[in-house]
Amino acid sequence: MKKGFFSIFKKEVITIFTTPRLLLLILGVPVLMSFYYASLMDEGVPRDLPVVLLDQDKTKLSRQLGLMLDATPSMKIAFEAAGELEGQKSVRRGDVFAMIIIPKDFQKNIQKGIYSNVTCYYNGDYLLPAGLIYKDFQTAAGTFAAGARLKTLQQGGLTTPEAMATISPVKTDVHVLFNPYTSYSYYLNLSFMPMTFQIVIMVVSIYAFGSVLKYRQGRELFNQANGSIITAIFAKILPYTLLFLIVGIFMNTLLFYRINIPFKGNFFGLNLFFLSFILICQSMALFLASVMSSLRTALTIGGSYAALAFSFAGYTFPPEGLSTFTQYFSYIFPFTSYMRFTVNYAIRGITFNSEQLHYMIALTVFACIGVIGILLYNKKLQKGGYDI
Amino acid sequence: MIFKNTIENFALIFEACKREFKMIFSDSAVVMSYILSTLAVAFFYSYVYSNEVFTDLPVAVVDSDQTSMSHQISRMIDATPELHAAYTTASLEKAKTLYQEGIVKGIVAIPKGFSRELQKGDVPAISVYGDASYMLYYKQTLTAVMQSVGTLNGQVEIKKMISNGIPMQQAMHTRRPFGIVGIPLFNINVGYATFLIPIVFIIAVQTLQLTAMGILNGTLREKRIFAETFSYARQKFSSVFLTLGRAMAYLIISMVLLLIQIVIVMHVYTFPQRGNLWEIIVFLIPVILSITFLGMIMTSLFRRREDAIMTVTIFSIPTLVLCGLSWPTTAFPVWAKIVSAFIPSTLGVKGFISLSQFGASLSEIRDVYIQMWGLCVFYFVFAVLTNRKYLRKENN
Repeated sequence: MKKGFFSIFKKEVITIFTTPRLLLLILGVPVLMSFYYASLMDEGVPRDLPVVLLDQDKTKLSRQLGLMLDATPSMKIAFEAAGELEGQKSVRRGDVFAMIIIPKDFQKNIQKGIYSNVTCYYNGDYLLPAGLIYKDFQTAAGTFAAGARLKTLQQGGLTTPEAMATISPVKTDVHVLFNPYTSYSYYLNLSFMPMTFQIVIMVVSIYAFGSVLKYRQGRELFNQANGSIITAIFAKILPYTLLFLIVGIFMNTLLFYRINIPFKGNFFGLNLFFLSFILICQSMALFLASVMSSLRTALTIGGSYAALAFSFAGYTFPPEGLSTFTQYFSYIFPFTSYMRFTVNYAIRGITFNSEQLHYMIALTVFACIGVIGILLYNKKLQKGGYDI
Repeated sequence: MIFKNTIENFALIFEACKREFKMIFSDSAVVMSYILSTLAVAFFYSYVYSNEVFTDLPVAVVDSDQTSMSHQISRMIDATPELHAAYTTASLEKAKTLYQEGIVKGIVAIPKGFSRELQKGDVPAISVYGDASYMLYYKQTLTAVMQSVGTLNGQVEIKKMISNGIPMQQAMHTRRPFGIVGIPLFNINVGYATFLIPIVFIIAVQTLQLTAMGILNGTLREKRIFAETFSYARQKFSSVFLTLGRAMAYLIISMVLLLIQIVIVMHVYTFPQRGNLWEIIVFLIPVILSITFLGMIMTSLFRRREDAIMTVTIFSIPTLVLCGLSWPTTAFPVWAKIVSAFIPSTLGVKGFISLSQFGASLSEIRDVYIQMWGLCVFYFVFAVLTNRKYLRKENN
C-alpha cells in the first residue's frame, strides 16, 4: 500500500466521488438550498398580503379609502366581510393578516367635523407582515386624512405650499443605509445561505473524521500517514475543505453578483475569510468527533450545535434584545462571529477596527479547540476507533 | 374466526408498541436526540427569546441647530421606548465614527437653521440614517423618529391654530378629520418569542423524532435484523397492524413532549395559549402520525443511520422557513407551496398556531384538520408498504 499525504488525499477524493450520497450532501444540498432561498424571496419585499375590509359605511368616501388601502404595495383586500364575526374568523384561521374597519357614518362624520376612528386589527404574530401592513395602513390612511384636510385648508384660502406646511411643518428625510430597497431578499439570504451551509460543513466533517473511528480503521489511517497525526488529519479533510470552498465561492457569487446585494468589501478577501470559517467549523467537527463516544452521538450533538447557531447569531433578532448571559453565550457558536464580521466587512464596508478584532479573536479560540481535537483524535486513532 | 383474528391483531398492535418503546429507550443516542434534545430546545429557545422586544437602541443625535426646539426634539427621541439618544454631538463625522465602532446603531441629524425655517413656515427636514444591514435596527429607528416628528408636527400645528384664536378642543379635531388606529392582535407587543416559540415546538419535535427514527431504522438495516426484530408479525395483513403499533409508541412519546411544551414551558415563560387543550390534542394526533409514517418511509431512503441524522438536521431550518416564519406563505412561489404541502409541519404549524395563538376552534379550521388527516393517510399507505418490503426482503 502506498503511504503518505498524497495517497490518503487521493483515496479520500476517490471515496467522495464514488459515493453519490456524500457528493449529494457536499455539493448538491448546499447548491440546491441556495437556489431554494434565492427563489423563495425573489420578490425582495412581500407584496399584496391578504387583508379583509369591513366597510360599515359604504359611501363614496369609504370606498375611496378602501381603494387606497388596496393600492398600497403590501396590502390586498382579499374580500369584504359582511359582518364583524366573519372578518374575525378569517383572521383567526390565518387566512388574512389583518381586518380593517371603516365605521358607520364615516363620510357624514368627516363632513360634520365629528371625530371617528378607522381601525386596523392586524395579526401581530407574523412579524414581517405585521410591520409592513401597519406601516402601509398608517401611510395610506394618513395620506387620505391629510388630503381631506388639505382641501379644507385650501377652501379657507391657503395656497397649496402653505397648506402643506400647515399640515406637516417638519419633514423627515429617511436615509436607508446599506440596503437601499429594504429588500428582505438581500437581508435574509445573506444569513440563510451560509447558515444552512455551515450545518452541512459541520455534519459532513464530523462524518469524515468519525467514520474512520466507527469502522475502526484508525490504525490503518495512522500507518498510512507514516505515524504522523498531522498528515492523517489534513490529508483526510483537505478534499472536503476544497469542495466546501468551491461551494462557498459559488454561494458568495450568487449572493453578491446574482441577487446583487450591495457589496462594499473585496471579493477575494471575503472568500478568504470564508475559507477560514470553513477551517474553524472543521476544527470544531474534529473536536466533537474525537470527544464523543460514537459517530451517531457526535453527529446528533454536532448537528444540533450547528442548527442552533442561527438563533444565537443575533441577526434576525438583534443581540440588544437578548439577556446579557445569552449575549456572551452566543459566542460559543462560530457562526455568530462569522455573521457579524461579514456584515461589517461586506455590507457596511467598515475597515478593520477594534470590533472586528473581537470577532477574529473569538474565531481563533475555536482554532485552539481544534488543536485539542488533534490530540484527542490521535488517541482515538491509536486505539483504532470508538469503543463499541 | 374473525373474532379471533381481531384479537390477535390488537395484540399485535400492543406488542409492536411495547417493543418499539423498548428499542427507543435502549439506545442512548435515540433517547438523547429524541427526548432530551426536544425538551432542551424548548426550554432553551424560550429562555433566549423571553425578552420579546428590545428597547432603548443607542443612537447619536447630531444637533447642528442647538436651539431650544432642537433640544426638545432630541429629548423627544430619547423618550421613545425604542431609542436612546446615547450621544448628542454637533459633528456628523463624530457620529459616523461612533457608528463604525458599533457604539450607536443609527444617526438622527437636525440641520442648522432648523428652528428659524420652522418659524418662517418653510418646511425643514430631520434626517434619519437607519442601519438596514440589520432590519430591526432600521425599523426601530425609523418608527421612533417618525413618531416623534408626528407628535412635533401636531404640537406646532395646534399651537399655530390656538394663536389664531381657535380653541384647543376644536384645533385638535380639525387637525385630523378621523383617527387612525392600529391594534396588534394575539401578540400584543409584536414580540419575537410569542411568534417564534410555538412554531419551533412543532419543528423541533418533527426534526428530532425523525432523527431518532432514522437512527433506529438505520441500526436495524445496518445490522440486517429488521425482519428478525419484527418476526412476530408474519400473518397476512400484519404489516398494517405492525405499522400502527410502532406508530403508537411515537404518538405517545411525542404527544407527551408537546404537552410538556404547551402546558409547562409556555406557562413558565408566560407565552399566551388561547386554545382548548383537548382540541389541540385532537389536532396534534394526525400531525404526529404523519411525522411518524414519514419517518418509517425514510427507512428505505437511508441505509445508514448517519445519513438520516445528517439529512434531517440539514433540512431542519429550511422546513422552518417553509412554515412562513421569516417570509409569509402567501408570498411563496407556486413550487414552494407544493413542496411545503408534503411536509407535515407546514399544515401542522398552521393549525397549531390558529388553535393555540389565534384562539380558533377546531371546527373553524375544519379544512386544515381534514387535509392533515389526508396527508396522514397518504403517508400511512407508504409506511405500510415500506414495513412490508423490509419484512419480506430479509426473510428471503
